[in-house]
Amino acid sequence: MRNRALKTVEEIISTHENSCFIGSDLGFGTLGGLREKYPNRVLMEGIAEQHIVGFAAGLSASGYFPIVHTIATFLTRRSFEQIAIDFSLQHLPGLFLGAGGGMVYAPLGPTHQAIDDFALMSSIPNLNVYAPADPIEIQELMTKSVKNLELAYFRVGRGGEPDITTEFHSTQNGNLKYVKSGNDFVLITTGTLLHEALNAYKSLSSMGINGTVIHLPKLNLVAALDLVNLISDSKLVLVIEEHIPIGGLYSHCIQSGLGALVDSKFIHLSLPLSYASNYGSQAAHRAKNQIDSEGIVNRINVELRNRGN
Amino acid sequence: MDDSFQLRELCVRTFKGGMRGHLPSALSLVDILNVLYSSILNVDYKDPLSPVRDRLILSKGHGCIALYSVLALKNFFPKEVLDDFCKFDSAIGGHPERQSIPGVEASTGSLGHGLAFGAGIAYSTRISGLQFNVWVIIGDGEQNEGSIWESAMAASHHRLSNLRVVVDSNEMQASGETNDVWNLGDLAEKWESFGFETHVVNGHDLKELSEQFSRVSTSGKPICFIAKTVKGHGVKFLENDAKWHHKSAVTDIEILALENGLSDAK
Repeated sequence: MRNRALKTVEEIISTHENSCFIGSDLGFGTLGGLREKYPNRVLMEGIAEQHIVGFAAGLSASGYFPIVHTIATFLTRRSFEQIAIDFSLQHLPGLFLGAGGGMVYAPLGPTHQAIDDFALMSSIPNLNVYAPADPIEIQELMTKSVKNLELAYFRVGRGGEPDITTEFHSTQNGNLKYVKSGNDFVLITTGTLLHEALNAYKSLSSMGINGTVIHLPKLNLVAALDLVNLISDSKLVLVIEEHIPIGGLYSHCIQSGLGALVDSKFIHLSLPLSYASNYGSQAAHRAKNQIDSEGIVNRINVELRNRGN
Repeated sequence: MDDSFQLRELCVRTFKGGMRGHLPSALSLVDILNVLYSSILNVDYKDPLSPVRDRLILSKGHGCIALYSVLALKNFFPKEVLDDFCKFDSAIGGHPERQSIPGVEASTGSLGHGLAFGAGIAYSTRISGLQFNVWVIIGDGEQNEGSIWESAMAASHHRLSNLRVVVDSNEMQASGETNDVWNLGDLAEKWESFGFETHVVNGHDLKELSEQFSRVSTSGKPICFIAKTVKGHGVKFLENDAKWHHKSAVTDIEILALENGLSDAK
């Protein structure tokens, strides 16, 4: 997904002469060709997140559309105030690409694990928070976000995710995507965890348990009415996210009024409110916290059994 | 240009409007702003958003009483607005906000933001080809913020010769003398070592300020002016008194004392 995000950056820089890119010491050769072609608009700055975000806001105030890219934790934690004050408060547009959303950087430890980025970013007014599930979706959403001159944060997944959102139906406003084969359960998720949800959905289907998977790529715009239509007949609703339990997808669902509507059917699966004490892989952390496809399947089986099905 | 007294009167008037504020910080930098808006900046109150205007970023946003007073004196908005300082529906609050009133270029207040923002604006001319200067005023206490030095390195690296930093060096901050909080060392040497062309100037001498601020960067480097100032300058009992750094719930007696103190200085 990150490669597609950078490819999309190339397209944006090449087609929008008012756009610019600012990276923070992203690694040897990153966007090297683009930097040679557009040396004034493609910058590889030092390790100074506070500065690059403030600097980007200055460019934005001068009529340019900045895309800022660095590791998600540094962007959302270190330069939180610059995003809030220099961009949001001043109603300036810009796009932030946070690399390594969720547990992508599990082996690098808690300093690199973006488990709270949804909470941090969605507390900022005027800012759209996106968690695309696959390369095709990040390309589509980034392109749209730039076209609409939004202030936006993108949680960027690890490389190698296949395109799966093409299998999904989309609601008219495009804020919600879903597949549905029955009412036994509903899985609501966002970001690359959609892959786990879809695998669980397929496994359960082979067991004769048919449900719905809903993907919300834009986190802070829970399309409550669209959701209600999809979940109202369901026996069980699970909200699954690779994020701490507060301030993320579940919080947005509850705030949008869904909690009251679906009452006790609502179950939340997330990372804990703590820093991880293990390293390993993203997959291992998903498994440990039972937000991988196997954990989801098991939980749905247990819940349905407890409900007498 | 010597509107120093009138501007100080406007500062006290603004302070009286809100019965609060960072008045000594404003009196420390008001002469710097006076010179900039009178003879240095290419700005026009009739066209406050001109793309080629010079920009002034007051990074030490708590000194905004001075900025509001100068902008009002230079016709960016009516002086009566000053009387609404910090009131519920006012366009001018305790820290400046971009787009809330003509002439304010950046929302500042949390220290350490303005230099990066200003550097971004200065850099934009490299893409647009427009020609203008960006002035960023920071406090000496503000140099405690690490982000200032991140931006100093970046501005120097990009050789932003249209960027001017003015350090309002009154040697005081909220808790007392700056060097007692953290020893700032030799500021001119420090900025020079970060790649700036650096000049030390008397921050209350209008003629000297005007001459120094007229400099153009011959070296291709950004310029830093260390303006030696006195916090509270113009009202004797305010000068260098840390208790006055920020005042709220100001009394009528204190206002009277300020007005009298100002008259005495005249």
